[in-house]
Amino acid sequence: MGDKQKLSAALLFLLVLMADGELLKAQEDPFMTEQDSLLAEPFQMDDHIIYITDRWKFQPGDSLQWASPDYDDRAWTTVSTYLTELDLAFTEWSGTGWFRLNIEADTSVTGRPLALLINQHLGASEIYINGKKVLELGKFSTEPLNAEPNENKDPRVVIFPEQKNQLIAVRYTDPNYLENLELLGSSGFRFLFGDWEYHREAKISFLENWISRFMFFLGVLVAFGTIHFLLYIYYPAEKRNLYFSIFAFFLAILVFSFYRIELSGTADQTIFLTRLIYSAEVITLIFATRFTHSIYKHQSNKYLNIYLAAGAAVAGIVWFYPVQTLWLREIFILFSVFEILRVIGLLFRQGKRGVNILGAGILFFVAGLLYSIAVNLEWAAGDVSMGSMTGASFLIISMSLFLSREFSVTQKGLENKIVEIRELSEKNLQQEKLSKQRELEKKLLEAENERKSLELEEARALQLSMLPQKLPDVHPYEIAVYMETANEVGGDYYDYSIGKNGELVVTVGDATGHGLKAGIMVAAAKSYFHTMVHESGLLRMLARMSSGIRNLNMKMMYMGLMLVKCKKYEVEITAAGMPPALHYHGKSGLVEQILLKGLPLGTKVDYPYKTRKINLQPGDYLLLMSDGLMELFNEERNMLGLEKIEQEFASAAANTAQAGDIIDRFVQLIRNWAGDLKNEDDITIMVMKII
Amino acid sequence: MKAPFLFLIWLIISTPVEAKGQSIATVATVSPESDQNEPYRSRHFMVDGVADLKVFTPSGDIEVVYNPDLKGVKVDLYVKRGFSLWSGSQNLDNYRIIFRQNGNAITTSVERKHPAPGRFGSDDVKFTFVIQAPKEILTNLRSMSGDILLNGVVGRQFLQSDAGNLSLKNSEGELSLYSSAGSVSLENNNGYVQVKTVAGDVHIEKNRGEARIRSVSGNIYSREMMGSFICATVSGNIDASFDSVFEGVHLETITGNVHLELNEVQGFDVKTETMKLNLDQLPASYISERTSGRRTTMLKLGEGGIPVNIKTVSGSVEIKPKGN
Repeated sequence: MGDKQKLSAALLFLLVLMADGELLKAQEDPFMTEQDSLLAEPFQMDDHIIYITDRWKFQPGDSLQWASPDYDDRAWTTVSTYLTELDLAFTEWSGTGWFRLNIEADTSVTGRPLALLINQHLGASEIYINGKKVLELGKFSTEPLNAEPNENKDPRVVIFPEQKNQLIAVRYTDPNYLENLELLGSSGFRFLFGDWEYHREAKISFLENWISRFMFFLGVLVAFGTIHFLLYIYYPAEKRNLYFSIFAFFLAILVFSFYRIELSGTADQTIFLTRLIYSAEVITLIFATRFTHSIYKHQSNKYLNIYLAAGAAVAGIVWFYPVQTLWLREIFILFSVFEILRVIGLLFRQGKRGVNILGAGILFFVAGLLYSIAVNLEWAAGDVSMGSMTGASFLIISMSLFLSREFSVTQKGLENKIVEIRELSEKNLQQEKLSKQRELEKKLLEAENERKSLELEEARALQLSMLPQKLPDVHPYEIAVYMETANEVGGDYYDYSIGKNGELVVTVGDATGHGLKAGIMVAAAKSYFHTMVHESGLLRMLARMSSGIRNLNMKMMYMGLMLVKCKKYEVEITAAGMPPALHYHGKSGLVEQILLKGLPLGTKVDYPYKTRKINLQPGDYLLLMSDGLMELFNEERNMLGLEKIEQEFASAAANTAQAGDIIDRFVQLIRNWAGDLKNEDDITIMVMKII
Repeated sequence: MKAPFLFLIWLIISTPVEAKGQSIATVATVSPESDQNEPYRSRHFMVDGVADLKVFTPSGDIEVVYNPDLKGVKVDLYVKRGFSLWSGSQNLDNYRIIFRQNGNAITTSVERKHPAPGRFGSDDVKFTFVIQAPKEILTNLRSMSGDILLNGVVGRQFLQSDAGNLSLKNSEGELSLYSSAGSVSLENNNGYVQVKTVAGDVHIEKNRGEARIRSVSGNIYSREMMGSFICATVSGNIDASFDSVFEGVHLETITGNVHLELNEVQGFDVKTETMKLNLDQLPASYISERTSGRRTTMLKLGEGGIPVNIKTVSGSVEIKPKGN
């Protein structure tokens, strides 16, 4: 049966009783004579209270005559001014009624201000002392819509006149009595008296301490929440800031609600704040748990979503059914606390950096709770809220520190990456710059090379033009020549000249170095050769050429030269700084070295060159060469050498008939020996076959 | 969650409460709700004459027992405290504990300093009073949610609990018991008894004197009664059995049934108003006269004389001799 039904049933019952005179007697109160005393003695109590009973005479309805001390209230019932359901169970109560209390006042409490202490006052009232209205709490009206319940719980001052018997009458109304009875279990008020000075100062002290502490703590919570919320706004990817800020905001709501409920004077406020507290507790824990989950990233999304959905459902249920679902709230809170500790434990085991900060915060929080419990149980002296707030402050700070540290670590990591990237970029830029420089240099070089190549091509063309266009056809000689330059313009030279008497002079030369200077040297040598070849003897010719070349003042440039003057089968040979000529004797198959020592042309020394005359036979071969052939390197850096040349020459001469074939054999020898290596010096081979 | 735990604790530490043979040692064991071995506060009030004791607790039990060896009144307050992790709502600073004596008037009271959350919120702090009293005493015992036990005293007694059960035994005097949801039990008392309940049942046994009982929805049971009996309930049943009736019996209910047992030794003038009257158990020889109307039946049992009125609007009435 609901409370309203019970009241209706009681009303019905009363109607039945009213019809039965026999039972009216049962309504008489056995304690009509109850009377309290107002003594100063209780001022000695700790809280300076003058105790008066809560059991007053009571009469539903309204009449101003009931304020009079002369009114006979003996027929009234005696109830508790709390007006519980039981007090009203057998009374016709529609929200308005009068209470009267006769007391004897000691002279020590009359004629001086006393504090009227309002422990509870759910409705509005007018207070009369000895028939005179002295106070109004809230706004009294017999019309429920016009009545305004008292919200101010501050002590009020009352003064009892200097007389022994005092009557306190309270004209009381509670426009919300049905709701208050259902939700709070009472509908009335509770007054006490106390020392005015003491209670006024106590109230001020309470407000100062309470408000300053709670406001400071609230400020801290809101500040932390706001900072981390802004961090989330500017960087939404970091959701931990969001969870933390919501946690801090709801903790602030919780703290504010606890503060407000202490000052709450009306049932509506109390009920609303109680709902808010219960739901905020759940939501605060949801986001504290979600925060720890966001640090430990190995939790499945399905589990997290189920937890969040369950938490939201519990918060909603607790809001709408706060009384019936207390067990649900406690289970959820226990589970959440366990879950937070479990995740923190896992983070410790995982060795997550910075988790010791969180651990320390939780340690302080738990210490605060233990302290609060100890104070609650009076094992320790102090203030429960201070323990809770201090512990929660450490928790908040530790969580914020953890986030800040994570942010700092990430920031430092990013900075290091940026430095690395910058360094890499600088290196790349330098590399690119170098590369471009090299490319430019290469292009310049290429251009220069192209230019030089062009010049060298021209020089080569000039050099080639200085070489005979064709080889002489003078009996009994068959001549073949091979030349391979190391650079575009080589330093080797060969030539011939046929005199008017049919005398054939051939020459093979080798200028030191290569390139343009060597080309010039060859040009000079060619000029001297053709100028003097038939005008003087070979030795004189060498001397004059050496002198002429020296006069060119081409520093460190010299010219090796071999001259071979052929008159039929008689041959005169002279040489300056050249490798030996090789003579293959057709009859014997032997190769003879014809070595004529002498400095190259162009030196400052007048070297005494010598000549040698030999008689050739048909079938003989002469091989003239520059030193490039002997000094040809293979991949193992070994030189070809004269011995291999002689063997090849002997073999080729013995097995071939044409001078060109011998040249081919030597070309093949060069390929085989050097492989892919480029010859480092010019190579000139001249083969003369004696027919 | 706490209920099973408390029940286990209670099973371990509690002993049955008996109405006789009280001593200080016995008193110490009858505080199952207290989690303290020692009282939180204790005071021995010396009185000159009959003590007038007022006790109030917002949550917790009140037990008053007669101690023949004690002069004055000894009040022990036991506190069972839970704890609040945040608000400190369970801190005793939130309560005003008063032990006060003004002449022979003794007030021991616990009240919240701020409005209680009432049934909307939980209040786990329980203030249990264990009181040793002289035989003669005036009491006013009230608890918002606890049980009240009064045993072996003489005088004017008033017991009131909103949610707890009331028990009054072996006492004499002017006895008033008011309960909202809890049941009321009276046993072996003598005097004028007045009981009011809203939803709780009333059990009254071996009571001698006048009893007036009112309830809204509770049932009323009486056994081995001697004296006058006036009771009314709206929806509860009335089951009354008398050894002897002094001045008369009045039983009234709206929707409940009435079951009445009378001692055949006595004669009664019975008036019943009901749609269904059952007299099958009454010996025909015991019914001297019978006059029946549409709803009203007048009976003369034995030689008649003692008035018995029974009313029920929609219930039935059964009358039978005691012991059947």
